[in-house]
Amino acid sequence: MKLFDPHIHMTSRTTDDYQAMAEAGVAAIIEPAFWLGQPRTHAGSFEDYYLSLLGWERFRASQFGIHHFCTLGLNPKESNDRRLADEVMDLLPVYLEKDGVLGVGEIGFDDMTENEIHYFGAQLRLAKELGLPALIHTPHRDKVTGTEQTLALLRELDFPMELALIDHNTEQTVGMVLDAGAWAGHTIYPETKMSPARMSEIVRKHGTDRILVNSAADWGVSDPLGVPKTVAQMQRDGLDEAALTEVFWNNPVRFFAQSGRLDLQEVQALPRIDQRDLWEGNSVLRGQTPRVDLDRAPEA
Amino acid sequence: MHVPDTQPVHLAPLAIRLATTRRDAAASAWLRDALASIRTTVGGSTRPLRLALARSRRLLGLDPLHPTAAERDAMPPSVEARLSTPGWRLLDVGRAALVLTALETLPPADGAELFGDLLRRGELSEQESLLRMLPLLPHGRTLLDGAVEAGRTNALPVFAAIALHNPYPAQWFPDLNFNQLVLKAMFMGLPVDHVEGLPGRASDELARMVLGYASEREAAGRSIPAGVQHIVALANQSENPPQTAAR
Repeated sequence: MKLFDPHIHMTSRTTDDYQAMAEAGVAAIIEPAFWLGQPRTHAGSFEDYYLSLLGWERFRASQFGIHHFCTLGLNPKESNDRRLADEVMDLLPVYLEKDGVLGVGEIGFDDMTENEIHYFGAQLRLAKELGLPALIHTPHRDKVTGTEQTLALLRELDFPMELALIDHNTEQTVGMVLDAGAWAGHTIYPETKMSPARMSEIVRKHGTDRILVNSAADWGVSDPLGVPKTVAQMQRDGLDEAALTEVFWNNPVRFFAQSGRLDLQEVQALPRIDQRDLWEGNSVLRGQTPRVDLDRAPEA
Repeated sequence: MHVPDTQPVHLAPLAIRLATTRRDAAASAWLRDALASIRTTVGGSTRPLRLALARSRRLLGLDPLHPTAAERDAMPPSVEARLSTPGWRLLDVGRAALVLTALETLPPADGAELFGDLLRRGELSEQESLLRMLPLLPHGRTLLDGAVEAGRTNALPVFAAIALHNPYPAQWFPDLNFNQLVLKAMFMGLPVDHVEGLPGRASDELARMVLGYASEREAAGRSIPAGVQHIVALANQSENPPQTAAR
């Protein structure tokens, strides 16, 4: 079964992770722009990071047969230096237009300061203007309040709820997010956030509509196989293949296809950034195989 | 085959025609508007160009060009030679038209700076297009630093765009940089006989480098890379004088 992890920070992961993900069936990922664990001090750092998400990381993923897309934005943790934040906001209109960008994010609240509200709002307006979905981070502390405030801001700005993916939900927030008409993401972490068993229960209770599951694997203790492990748990719990396909492929595709930038046929096949195109016509290789083994057939 | 600096390339009408026939009216209308917008911001913001480059993939797609005989007949010979080589996509033609239009509005030094900037700030497909279009751009020598820098990438499609089916390195790269490009192509498992202009640049030094690489592979119990004997044979045949200092 082909899997889509709609929130994972591959910049901080090794090729061992890519290898394991590919073997476990992960065929597409979204890497949202976030902080690097400590604050950046120059707008150029943000720009180079965006370029790496669009460039090297995208290529690195393709070497393992994985489609890599990203969202770009100014995250809440780095919204508090206004001079720097304004410079980053100036970069976004061009960078958001580049190939591989499927949304604005991660944006949202962390401490819920005035500055965070300002830049969260500005980016929601920008997303609305560009017709892009928004990938929204909810705080890990005081999450219920943060989620309520997020929904309130979305309503205040008349942001289309179907273009809002509110992430890192728990049992306490998923209901209000779904009731509001937004999409609900859930992050499977080894010790904290959400677990496969709890996720299985959430789907049993709320159904599969507008539910997404991700690993958000990053620089901290996290698991790039969170998504396949949750699939395995749900299979053990008796969820059928159709339901699993909804949650782990159709839902992420459906949500991000709203960007108008996701080629549905292309994402079903292996990434085009591979080496076979270069062996057109005469080759001097004499029996050598291309760098990456791309002989596995795309799954039905 | 390169385009002499004295002969400006006008790709805009061709690009618009190809956009219509290969995509649709919406794509060619978009391209026409984008080109007009670039022309009218003479000496001003590069934003219309950057936005157009960014958006172009969505409008023009990724399909290879493979021009038909009829399409080739309608092209000037230098352009036809370029656009018929492997790798060229409609996207690259459209982007070349956009960049050429912007460069027309700028003195050469500013044009070189703009080109370098676009390369550094391009994502994978933009970088690929910018490198592929090099032989069509005026004042090629001024673009050398950006091209050499781009040859240092490990992102395969970008590297292939400068190393393979591209006359630019053989024409402009100093010896050290050209040799490193060929060695790297071999290292990355690419067919070095697709390095355009290799016969004219295959030197004893390049032969020494690839033989050295082959012996490293042999010592490690690995296969000999393809292309070694080809390069050694070319070096033996030629009497190529060394070119200018390395970058």
